[in-house]
Amino acid sequence: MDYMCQKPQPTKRLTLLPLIILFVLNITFSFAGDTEKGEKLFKQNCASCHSIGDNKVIGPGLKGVMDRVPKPAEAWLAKWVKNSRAVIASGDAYAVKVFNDNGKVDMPAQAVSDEEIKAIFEYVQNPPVKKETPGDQASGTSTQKDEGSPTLLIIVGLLFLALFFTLRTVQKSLGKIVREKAGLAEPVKYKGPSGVLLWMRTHKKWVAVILLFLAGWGSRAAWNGMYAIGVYQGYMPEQPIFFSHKIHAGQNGINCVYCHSSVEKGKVSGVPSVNVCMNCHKGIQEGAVTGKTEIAKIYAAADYDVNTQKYGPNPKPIKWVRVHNLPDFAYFNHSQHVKVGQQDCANCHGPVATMDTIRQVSKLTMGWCIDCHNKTEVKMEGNKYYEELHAKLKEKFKNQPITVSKMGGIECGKCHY
Amino acid sequence: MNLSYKKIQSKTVALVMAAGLVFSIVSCNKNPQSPGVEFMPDMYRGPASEPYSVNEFYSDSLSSRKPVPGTISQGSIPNSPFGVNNTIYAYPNTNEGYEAAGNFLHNPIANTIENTEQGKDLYIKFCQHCHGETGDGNGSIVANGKFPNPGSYWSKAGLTDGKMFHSMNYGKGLMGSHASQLDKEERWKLVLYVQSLIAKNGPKTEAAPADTIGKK
Repeated sequence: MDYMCQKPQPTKRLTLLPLIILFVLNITFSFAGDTEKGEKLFKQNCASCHSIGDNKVIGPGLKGVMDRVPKPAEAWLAKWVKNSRAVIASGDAYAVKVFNDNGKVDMPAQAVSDEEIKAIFEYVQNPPVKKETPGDQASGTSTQKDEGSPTLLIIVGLLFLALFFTLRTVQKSLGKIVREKAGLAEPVKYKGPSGVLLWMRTHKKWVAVILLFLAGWGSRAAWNGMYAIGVYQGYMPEQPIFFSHKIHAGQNGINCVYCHSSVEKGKVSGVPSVNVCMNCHKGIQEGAVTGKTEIAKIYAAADYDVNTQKYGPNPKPIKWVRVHNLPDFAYFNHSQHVKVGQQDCANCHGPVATMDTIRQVSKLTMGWCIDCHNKTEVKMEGNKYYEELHAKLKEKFKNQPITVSKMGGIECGKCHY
Repeated sequence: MNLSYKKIQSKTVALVMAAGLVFSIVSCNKNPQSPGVEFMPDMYRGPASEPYSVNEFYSDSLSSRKPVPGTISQGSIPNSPFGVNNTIYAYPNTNEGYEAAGNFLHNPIANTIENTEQGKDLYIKFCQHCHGETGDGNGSIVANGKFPNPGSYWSKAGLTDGKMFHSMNYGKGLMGSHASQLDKEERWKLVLYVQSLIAKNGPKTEAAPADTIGKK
């Protein structure tokens, strides 16, 4: 009874604690409200040209801005944000200096209220300390393990070897004991190269089996080796810049065509020139996985100075290593397959959006081409190019699917000429 | 037993076995840095320059050459009768040029459903990752915090078709020039689609009377 009565006591006290915590949190949240609101407003209206640090993006970084603008700072900034052009036109010395220092690009007038401006600068002055997001860390480590290491296989193998040798010693010592008890002679020992030969002479059946196995293995290896001539499947060369499709196409969701923009227009799906990289990397100066080292290579190629934001006169080409390459005697046209044939990039290039380093997934052999041409039905609806042809083919192949092969997609001259 | 005779034989046996082992390991392990064995390289690689191939004749080793400075592409005259892609873009990359384009430049392409649909296709490929599906500036790369929000299209005051084209042509703020990825016709189709996005998702000025009706 005593026990039953005493038990509820501590829980009663504990119920107060969460309430107190909630109360305290509530107060801090109401304090944080202004900077949070300010952060949201900043990201919507300012972040595309200003950072909250020292670094210049398009306009100057806003760290310590309240200390450097003319006093009273709040009133001056409010005037500037609402209509910078008017402040410059009024002949304000500081405004003219800022305008000239930033390439005479004027800041567009922002449609924000005085209160919102106050919240924005509240946030700029006291940005909340950001915690490392676990997602970034995970993606960083997973990139290292992407290709799958053989360590597990080696460990399992070593374990099996250890097991084998322990069992063998047990078997030997047991055999010794048995032989000693029964008074039998020690078995013949095969030691050294002459021992091997002796064993081979006395175990002819085993020798035959091993030789057969080796012959089979060897011929299979030779056969596969010959098949692999001219097939570059699995080719995964190291590139001059660690460019990860997993980050760009996967995590960031950038469409393939954004960078490979000639895929729908020409034979070759172009490797983007550096100006396409710079469309984003003018703003993104540090990567989540490789930091600044790899992005610095883009700047070097474009001869771009991050501090002055100017391009120099000596751009250098980036020597990307070509992965997918057909021999000169085979003609392949990307626009024909992607624009007209409506093929997805992944049909031939595999899951590129999951790869850190590009790997050739498909064989790109003639058999592989023909296989697909035999299977793929041509989508003729809504495609003016096929209108007349479709009527003819429909009559010719009644109730049969019209594949690429049936319209001449496996004629020699289509690809070899 | 004749030991010397055996020794020679056993050495050969060991040698053959080792060779077999080495061969099988070599033929199984493929080096990802090498494409593999090439049969008749002369037929694989023609003497003509492939796109993006190296040409040591030029000091920068690029086989793809730019046209000579001052080259005018065929039919490139202002208000060309040979289509939009052959017209010269005459507004300079300055604040004044931006305003002038906004005032005087207008979409030469007809506002048809087909053109807008093609604009949508281009928008998904070239704009959506920053500007967002609805045009609110919250695309995939903005949503994951890597790129600042470019702002919604309707938050930009007086965004006329000429200003949009000017921004795509030269870039604006953090956005770079997209002239190398999109030809002029495609840029004008994008303008059509962005205008349809603004009409669909932007603030509804005409919606006010409808609201008052709803309140009654």
